[in-house]
Amino acid sequence: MELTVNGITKSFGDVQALKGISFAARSGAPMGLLGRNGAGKTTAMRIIMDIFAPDSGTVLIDGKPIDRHSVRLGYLPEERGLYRKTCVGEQLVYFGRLRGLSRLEAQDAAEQWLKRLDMYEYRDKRVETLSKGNQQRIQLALSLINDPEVIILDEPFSGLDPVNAGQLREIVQERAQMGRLIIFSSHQMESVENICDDIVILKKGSIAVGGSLSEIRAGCPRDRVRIVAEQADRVQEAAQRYGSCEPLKDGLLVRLCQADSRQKLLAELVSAEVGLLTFETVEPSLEEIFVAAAGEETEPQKPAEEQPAAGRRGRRRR
Amino acid sequence: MRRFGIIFRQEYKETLRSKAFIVISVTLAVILLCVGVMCFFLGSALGFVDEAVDEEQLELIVTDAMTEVMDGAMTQTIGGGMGSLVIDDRTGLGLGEQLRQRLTFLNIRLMELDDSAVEAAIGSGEYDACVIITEPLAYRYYEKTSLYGSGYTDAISDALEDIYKRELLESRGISESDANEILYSAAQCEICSIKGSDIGSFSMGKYFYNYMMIILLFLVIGLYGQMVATRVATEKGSRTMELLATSATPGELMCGKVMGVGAAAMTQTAIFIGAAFGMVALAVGRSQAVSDAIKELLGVTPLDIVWLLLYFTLGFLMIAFVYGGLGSMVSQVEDLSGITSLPLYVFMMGYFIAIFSTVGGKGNPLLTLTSMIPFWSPVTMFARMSVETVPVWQIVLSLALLAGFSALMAWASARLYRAGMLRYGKTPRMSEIISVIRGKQQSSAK
Repeated sequence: MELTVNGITKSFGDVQALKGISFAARSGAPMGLLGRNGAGKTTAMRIIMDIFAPDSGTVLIDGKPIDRHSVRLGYLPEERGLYRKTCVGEQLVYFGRLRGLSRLEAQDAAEQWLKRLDMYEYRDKRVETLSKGNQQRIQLALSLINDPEVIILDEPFSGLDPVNAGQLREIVQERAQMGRLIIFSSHQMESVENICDDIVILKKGSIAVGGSLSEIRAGCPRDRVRIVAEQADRVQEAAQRYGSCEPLKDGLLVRLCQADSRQKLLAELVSAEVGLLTFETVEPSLEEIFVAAAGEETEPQKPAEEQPAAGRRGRRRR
Repeated sequence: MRRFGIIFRQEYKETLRSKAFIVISVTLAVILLCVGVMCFFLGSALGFVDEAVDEEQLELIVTDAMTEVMDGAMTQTIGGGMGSLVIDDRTGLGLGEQLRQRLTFLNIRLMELDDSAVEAAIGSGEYDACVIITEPLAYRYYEKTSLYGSGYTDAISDALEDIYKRELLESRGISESDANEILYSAAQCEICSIKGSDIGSFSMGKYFYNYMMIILLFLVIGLYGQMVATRVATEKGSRTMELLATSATPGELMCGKVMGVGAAAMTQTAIFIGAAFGMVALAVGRSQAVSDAIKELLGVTPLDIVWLLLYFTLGFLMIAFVYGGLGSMVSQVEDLSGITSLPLYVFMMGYFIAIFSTVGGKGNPLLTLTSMIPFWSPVTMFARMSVETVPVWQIVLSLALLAGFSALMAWASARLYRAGMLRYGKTPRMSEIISVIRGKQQSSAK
């Protein structure tokens, strides 16, 4: 299954929230939809979920408009929105039934998810008695209760402690292995790196970077090396001629002025017999990619009609 | 349809479980039943409850100065709190005795009374009523204040008139048989109804019934219509609306919500009516006047009940859809009062037209016109039906217009619900709301 977003634009009054974005997500390969606050992530997700319509553009599944009667959708909104005075179990059953399950199926599914999330004891408690983190977990269960084929998660890690965040990662990876199509947004770069195959970084309503995470990393300049040597002082002295140095706990991080001077530096260190132990190229972290793409002023991507769709086939920006 | 049913059941259940619903229903039902129990046990002390429901138990104590004075034994009577009735005939013509012979369904006692003591005696409860005959065709009737009155002055007046006329005829040499022929001649009338006439009969029972239904309709429709708005606004304020929007269509959500709350309104109304009947059942055996009123009220036809149910249902749907749509346009419950005040005032206008226009009686053009206007017809048509017989085709037309308008409001409210789903901030003006309904204003909606 492939979900394709083509040339989506959306304005709210004078504010253009989305400026012709295009990307694709596929089953089994979770996509991270990233961006700074106000970049348009939630707007894009709401358009995918048909909460509101785009001004232009389409959202397709396998080349056809989404048929909500035949495709099971699951959505975790950014804001917690449960009925505060209704019991947890009853609420799960209610939404499960609204999403196509029979009463028995909804009850079984609710019970399974509550046990999976270690929240079975809360099934008869009102939502308002739960902490924010637990409410988020209940809302996650609600979004997955009908075993959706397409799962949209907006800031799913919000309010979760590290243990529960780890559990959520497991669930997302499990769903991906089951062949579900997953799109989620998060500011937790570590989680995104661990889970996602593809990412799209939005900046002011446009796509700044999009594509496979490995390809994006490969496309980044390889201008950083980590060096561990017995004679650290001599290494630093040599490295400073090629770029800036940053001491690490166990070595030195060198940011080269020119990426292709890596080999020259290596040759010099070898010939200087500094007792080289480690000389490795350091790939940029997702956080660094994010900051570079979404933080600095870069030329925004051209509108969709002027370029191929991003996503698996997307381009990166420096 | 399936999702509509799920939402309908959930909304119905939630409304029934709400604290406000339980408190109001239980409190009012208990109050009504307590009133009935009070009537049952304390009726005689309160002065309007009797043991029997038979006219024969009414006692008139008629005193004639020339007849024996009987012991003033108190007798339980019925009807307007009547107990023993004392009559003092001061004409000296034996009218008291003649009344006793004629009015055989009454127990009459004759007694000589002191004027100054009459009011005090009745006020203290020594006697329930008193008649002082001062002239052959003039008497004073004293009784304790009652809700309906004894109704026996007509019988006493008729009897005195008959006695006077007979004596007058006898004094003119008219035989008894001729006197009977003269006195009992009566015109015969055959009433022929003309088809198409829209001016019909007036019934106090029906007037009372319709009047109560107008108040009930206004209160229930207004109260529960507001509840729909509150529930929608609460969902929006708590962000539940976004979850719901991905689970069902705006039409399903709005219709399920309105009808679920409407069913709860019907349930509560049924509880009230049931409690009211319970109250009356407890009281009715003790009071002839209440029994008479209920008999007249029960003269309301099944068709009247059908009209009530139809107007209630359609009227509620119309108001609830309006309120529901408006509720989705606010950011929080606290902003509701501003946006719902206009439809409330418009609906109240209909209520006041209904209440006050009946004063003019049948054929009121204002009532006729407003009984066809959907926003007012649920109450104004009932007012019109209380003072005149409305042709069935006009009622059907009014209902059809109301149904059509309700459907239009359902459509509009679904549009507003969709548009207002994620709209937060300043409460929109009515012109903006109308633009949204017409699809001219770009918002978060399709």
